[in-house]
Amino acid sequence: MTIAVQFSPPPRPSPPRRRLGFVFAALALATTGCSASAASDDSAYTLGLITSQTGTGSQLGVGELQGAQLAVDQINARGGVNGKPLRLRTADDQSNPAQAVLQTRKMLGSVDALVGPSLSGPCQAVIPLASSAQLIDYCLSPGVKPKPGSYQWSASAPTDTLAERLLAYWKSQGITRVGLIYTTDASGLDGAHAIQSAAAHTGVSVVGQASYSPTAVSVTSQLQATTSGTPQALVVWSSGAAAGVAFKGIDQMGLKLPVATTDGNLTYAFLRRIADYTPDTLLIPATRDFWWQQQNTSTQVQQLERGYHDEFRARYGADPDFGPGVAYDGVLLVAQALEKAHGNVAGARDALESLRGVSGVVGTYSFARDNHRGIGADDVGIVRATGGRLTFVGR
Amino acid sequence: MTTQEQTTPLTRTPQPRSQRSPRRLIVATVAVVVALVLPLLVPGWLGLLVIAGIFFLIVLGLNLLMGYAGQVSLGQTLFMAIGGYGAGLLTLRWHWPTLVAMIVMAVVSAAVAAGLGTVFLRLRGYYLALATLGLAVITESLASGLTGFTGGPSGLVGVPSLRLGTFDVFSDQANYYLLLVVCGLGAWFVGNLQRSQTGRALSAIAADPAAATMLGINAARYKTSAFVVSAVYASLGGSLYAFYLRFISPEVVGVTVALSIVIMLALGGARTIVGPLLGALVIQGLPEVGQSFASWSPFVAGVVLILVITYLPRGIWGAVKKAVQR
Amino acid sequence: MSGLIQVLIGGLADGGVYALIALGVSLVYSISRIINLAQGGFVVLAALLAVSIQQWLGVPPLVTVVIVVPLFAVLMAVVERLVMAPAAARATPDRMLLVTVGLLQAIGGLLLLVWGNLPYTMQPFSGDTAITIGGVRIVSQYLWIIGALVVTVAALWFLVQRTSLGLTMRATASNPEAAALQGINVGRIRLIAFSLAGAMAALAGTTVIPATFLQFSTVTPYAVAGFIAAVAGGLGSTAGAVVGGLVLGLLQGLFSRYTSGDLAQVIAMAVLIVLLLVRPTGLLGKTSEVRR
Repeated sequence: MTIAVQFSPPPRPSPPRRRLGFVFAALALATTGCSASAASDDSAYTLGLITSQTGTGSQLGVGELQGAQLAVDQINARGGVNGKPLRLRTADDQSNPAQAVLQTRKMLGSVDALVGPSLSGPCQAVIPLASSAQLIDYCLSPGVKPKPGSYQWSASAPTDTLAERLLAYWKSQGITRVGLIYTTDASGLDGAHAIQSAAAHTGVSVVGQASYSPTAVSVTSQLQATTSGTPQALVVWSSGAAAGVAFKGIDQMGLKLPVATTDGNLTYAFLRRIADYTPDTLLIPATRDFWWQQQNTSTQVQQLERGYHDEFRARYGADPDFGPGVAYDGVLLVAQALEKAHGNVAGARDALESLRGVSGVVGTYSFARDNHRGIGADDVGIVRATGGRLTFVGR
Repeated sequence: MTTQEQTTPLTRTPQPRSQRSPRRLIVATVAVVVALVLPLLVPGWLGLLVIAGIFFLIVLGLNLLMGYAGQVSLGQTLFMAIGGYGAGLLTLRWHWPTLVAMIVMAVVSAAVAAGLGTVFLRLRGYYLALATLGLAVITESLASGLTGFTGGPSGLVGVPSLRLGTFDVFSDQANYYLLLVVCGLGAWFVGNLQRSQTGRALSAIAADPAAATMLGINAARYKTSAFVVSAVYASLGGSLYAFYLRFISPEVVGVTVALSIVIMLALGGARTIVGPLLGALVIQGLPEVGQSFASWSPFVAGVVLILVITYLPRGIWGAVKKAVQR
Repeated sequence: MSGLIQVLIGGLADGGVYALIALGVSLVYSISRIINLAQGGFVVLAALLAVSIQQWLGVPPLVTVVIVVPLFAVLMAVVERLVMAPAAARATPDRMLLVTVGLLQAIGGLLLLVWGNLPYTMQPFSGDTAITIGGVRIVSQYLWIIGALVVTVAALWFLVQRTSLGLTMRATASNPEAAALQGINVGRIRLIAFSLAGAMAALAGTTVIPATFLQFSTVTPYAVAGFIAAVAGGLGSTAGAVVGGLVLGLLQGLFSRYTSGDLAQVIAMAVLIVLLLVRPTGLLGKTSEVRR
């Protein structure tokens, strides 16, 4: 009994005997190890949406929540899923994997599918839970690589494709020697790896590279290492403040090279922020929602894109960027899968895997057991950022 | 929680039960009952209680080192990382039984702490704080930099749940009751230690090292022992954390976490058992409760910390006790 | 060769900022025995405030220095009276460290609330100019940073060594109780020390922001770097803080150039810990209170 004296604060006085039944009930519950069960509410479908509303991921997460809400409202306006309304249950993981796990555990048993989290770290943390509950999870970060047949999906174009498209474009412009600088976080390492393997395919060589901490305030040394092999162009695989620091460093060192960066920087707030320091040529590999107007796409795609862009602008007073696009598509796809599986949560995975040629705003999705991303090279173009605006330059 | 009532010195055994007041026994029974039925009362908060329990365990260990021996360590995440990553890797790569992996890593942590302790604990005050903060920075950088080993910044994915016999400790309830037992044992050990000769020796070292040495107390050995025990607690906490999250990444053992562990102790109240529990609940609960005002919570947490440290020298629990006594 | 020099120059500029932070930490420590971890946080706060002031008033970036430095001298005095003095009267030094951790967190939280999750920068003081000597490019803003450091050290030296206020400060630093007995108003001296540290933080923040991007999450790296530089250089030593800051900047630059970013961090910390164990008073410290 000595344990409890020290273990708990003095509790409210309550008759212990009446609680004894509860104790046994609790113990019984504990030993049965109650695992997550299917959603309890039959009158509607519920999507669990986990995004980063605060912390480093909030640049994407805030837009993702808006995009997802727009998609849910549009689906409900068209009559819902199998005639039932679609509901959104939202949570903020604060850009932190442990919080993502806590929020997911809370959702297990009351949602029919998961969309999110925003960042790859929290996505990785969530997936074992989703798998054991047999819930599909449409991760909004392009940075994860779902295993064939798993419950995990990944948004947007694969990093390898982005890197290949970028280097192939440069090759066509006569650039064969590039320097690479990246942050030591998950997306930076992933991007660096993709650039290196894409270089081997496309016949471009990486003549210098260096890494830096996402919180670094100066990258002079790293830029020196990157440019020591006299590259013709630079790849900066980092996002947010870290990318800003690199652009500023490039500017300060007087480097006039063309620069490319990751699609993680495709937020207008960020592009406007760095407008004064943007390198003369800043290229970003981007999905269709960034260049649909400037390329010939089918009427159906034009219609979908226009509906999405116009309605987003009308509702939020801003152009949608990276976050809203992936979340909008995520909700659209997961809703289709639920519809196809007639609300059978366990069947949703097979239903989602069987979707082919579904048009979203990011691109046209064709899933398979070993392709849980569905976006191909055709949906990736190269855009150039000047003064906070984007123009299509090639594919 | 006071040492004055102790009549028989030089013993580590708890007081005989007959000496305890009946009121304490009632409070104890009620507390156990409430702890047992808590999952039924607040099912939505179980996840939070599990995480708070894990940090309670870690802070309890630090309490021994910081509260009693007076040595500040900002580097407890090193041992969390050894426990978490070690247990994760042993079970994932080499398919060790989870319980064995957890215990082996606790022994490894103890050995590392014994080695580091003899060197580090010669430093004092701010310098020990700085050196251990260095350990915390190194821990996070290594977790992120040794990509091939730790999985790098994306972390170690798919760590199994703790398995006891044939039962997987997966659900929130199972984890809660497991932690109730583990934390209960941990608190019992620290509680007895504080009343024992060892506890008084540690307090003497914290109060006046020179006088302690004159009394024949081998300060270095006691401090190192306290460091070793705190490392074992942190290692076990780290392993349980990895088994519960089924994942571990550099952020989980980051510098922010290292600081927050010390904050939990100071906030709740050092040199008690309830203090660490309160500290863990408040610090872990704040982001949870603050889902609706998440952008305010870092600011609020900072202000609360300043106010508590300034105006509640014995932490929240110390203030509560004082108010009750009055 | 010019590549190596380029790396060293970048390292020196970073180190200059660390040195300015360490100077503030060291000065406050010598007068009050408080290690103010939040000093690095005030640097970022000053920087973002300078950006906003520059945008509101449309003044040249250099003018923000004249506005923000006095403002922070006052602000830090207020912080001393509102936060530090009440806490120091009650808490032990170990707990005071946690009070400053709380202050650091509150500053980070405030930055997030007011400036949001976006990086900020400002135009360089003397435009986008740079000097090129033998293939080595020195950005004009780096010269402003080093200049700010030189001016601060010179002013501090003059104040401490050549004025009567400096004499009282030295007396307070060597023994606060004895100073109080001699009729020195120790509270006022502490207020002045914090105020000077505030001015230094503002100077560091306003001169570094044109050279980089800063945001709420940058408070911790600056706080940790300033703390390390101050302790490694030897707490309470002006020269130690400057050397500690510059050496830390150079080491980070060199290690980042030739190893990975994470490894650079590990090596820098390992060097620091070994330094503490081998020469616990820091590079230039004199105190013998480190070990038992």
